[in-house]
Amino acid sequence: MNEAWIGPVVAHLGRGLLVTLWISLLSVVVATVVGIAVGSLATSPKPALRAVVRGYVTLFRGIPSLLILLCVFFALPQIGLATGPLTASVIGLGLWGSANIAEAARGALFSISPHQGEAARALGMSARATLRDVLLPQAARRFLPPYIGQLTVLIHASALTSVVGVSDILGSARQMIERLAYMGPDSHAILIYGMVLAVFFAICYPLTLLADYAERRLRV
Amino acid sequence: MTSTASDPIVSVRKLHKSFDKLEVLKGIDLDVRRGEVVVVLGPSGSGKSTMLRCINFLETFQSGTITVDGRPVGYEAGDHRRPLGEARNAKVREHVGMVFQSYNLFPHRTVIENVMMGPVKVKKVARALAREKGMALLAKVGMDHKADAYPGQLSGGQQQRVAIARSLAMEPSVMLFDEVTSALDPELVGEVLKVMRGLAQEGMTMIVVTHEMGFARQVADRVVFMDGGVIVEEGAPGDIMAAPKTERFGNFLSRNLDQ
Repeated sequence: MNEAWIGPVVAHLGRGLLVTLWISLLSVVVATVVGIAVGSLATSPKPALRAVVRGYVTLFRGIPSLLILLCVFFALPQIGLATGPLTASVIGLGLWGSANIAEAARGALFSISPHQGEAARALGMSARATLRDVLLPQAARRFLPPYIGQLTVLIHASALTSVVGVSDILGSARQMIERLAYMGPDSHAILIYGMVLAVFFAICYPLTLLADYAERRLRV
Repeated sequence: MTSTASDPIVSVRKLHKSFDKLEVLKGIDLDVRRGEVVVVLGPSGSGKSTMLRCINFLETFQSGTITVDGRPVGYEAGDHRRPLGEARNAKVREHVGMVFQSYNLFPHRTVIENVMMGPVKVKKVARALAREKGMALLAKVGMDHKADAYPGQLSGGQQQRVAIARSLAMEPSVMLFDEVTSALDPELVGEVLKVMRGLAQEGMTMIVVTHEMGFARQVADRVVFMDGGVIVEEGAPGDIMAAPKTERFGNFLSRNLDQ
């Protein structure tokens, strides 16, 4: 068996891995910022605002991530926003992830006794100060384990971006497999997908451990 | 001085409050003057805690007016009953201290940080000054030796004394006590009542909802008996607790006599 294919394939997968990490990082940032903001709004005293939050979370959690990705990729140019596959992927994954993170944030906030908020308000604290100094710090401990879990899910979902043409690690793997298929009768699919699998596992397994640790450590 | 001393700090007029279709307050009128200690007695479900919570607008109410230090609570004064908005509610609450049955200390902050929270976050007092005043208040409730402990490390009685210090740190015009000893083990009740008694002697204006008959008898300037969402009877404890005018209060007293 000729082993010469391995070098170029690994190099190509390496470039794909960088794209995967970059997309994961950007969508994690988008999902975290939007998710925490939206989740915090769920504690608003205004019913209309809470309804908007509920709608947002329900909508994006109710749609497959792949569908959101395709919609963003094909819909944004329609309204005049020319975006490349990478930007579309970050927006799509970010929106999808933000709904899950918002739900985790909302759950964490609501797990704090309403008496805590009452005690803060009784001191004369504003709604914002109550959230910032009393509710959020306590909710953060309960938020962290499910949040880390969501990061894993988001990193997994980044593999979907190859569908809209991003050369992430999975897209690169498929390109390599197809190219090698022209060159000879041997199929390298199992080996190459095996490498991708190992890479995803190597990234996500420590995160899973971290989530478990956080859950044990921060149990309130 | 005499004119301000007789001005009511808290004034409740024709207060009506319903939870959905259940009317829990059916027209409450109550004035509390500066330095007065009013103890509110009544069976559970009589509306006494709800009335207390209306005074710092932790509960909305359907009609009637409340003022604290002359400031309207919850709704615009006058004919237009418009909600005041969160910022103005917060402003009124600065002048109203409240202590809860379940203490409600902030578990992620130490004892002294709990006491400093109001002055630092609401009044923007410098941390060093807030700490100094906070330590003095903790000393007053006998908790300065636990300043750096977390609430979870304290007994219920200790937590409640810290909660009182936290409220006092805002230098309120009136203190509301909502069944503050009801969740405590019997042997811890005394230490909290002692702090409250001290406050009363210093001239703090207090409205105390409680089941502690002894406290009502010894500390109250006036006892208010509520039942079924109305004030049934009120007067000096020496008068009305010795000789209740109504059958309802009489029955309530005899049921709670041994407490």
